[in-house]
Amino acid sequence: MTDSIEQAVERSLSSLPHLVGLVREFLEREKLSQELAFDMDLVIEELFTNLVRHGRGGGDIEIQLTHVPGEVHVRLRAAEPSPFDPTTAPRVNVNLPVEERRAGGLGIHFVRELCREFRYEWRDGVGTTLVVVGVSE
Amino acid sequence: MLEIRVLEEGTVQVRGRLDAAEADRALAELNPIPGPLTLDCSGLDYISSAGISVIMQTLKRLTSQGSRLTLIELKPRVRNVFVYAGLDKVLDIR
Repeated sequence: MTDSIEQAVERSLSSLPHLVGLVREFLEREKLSQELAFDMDLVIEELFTNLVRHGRGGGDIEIQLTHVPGEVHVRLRAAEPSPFDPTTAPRVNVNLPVEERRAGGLGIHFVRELCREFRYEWRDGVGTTLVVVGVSE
Repeated sequence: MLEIRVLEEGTVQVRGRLDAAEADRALAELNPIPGPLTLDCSGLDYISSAGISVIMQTLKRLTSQGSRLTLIELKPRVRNVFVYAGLDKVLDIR
């Protein structure tokens, strides 16, 4: 059995409950703690929602979850006419008073907080975001 | 799935998942509720940046009305999200 799970889901916020189920299925199959679910849900939701709301492409979004020793790799693949790179999003200064903060960016800030690696590549009209979450086994 | 229930005068229970799929409905349900408002988060299992936005919009509405918002009984994981956002010191969290 492969240590990976992959699915294409509709590019819509209504897909979020399905992604929640997919994470739990993956953790159970890989015998990983369900304690990981919260952080994985948060990372996946923020990246997925970013694509749904701000991406310029269409069609489904492919999600792949892979278990390697000590890590879970999350890949989101989506058709984009030009690079749409979340790793270049401006950093949020969470120490500023709320009224002085610019709108948006908090979701990607959470991704940066929770991941060991955060990478993006774009090739032939398809953008792939990779995040690596550490797991204790 | 998210459930918002008015428990008593000024206290609202939020249960389930406050994510991007539920944020618009959550805001629509919270908007008519006057302050001061206490959100009982003991049943809140998950929150994302979209949920944080709902809380902050509710805070701004109540503050502009001269009222206040208090969050109580947050689960540790949910509280962490407020910490990541630097909002644990901005909001009245008990």
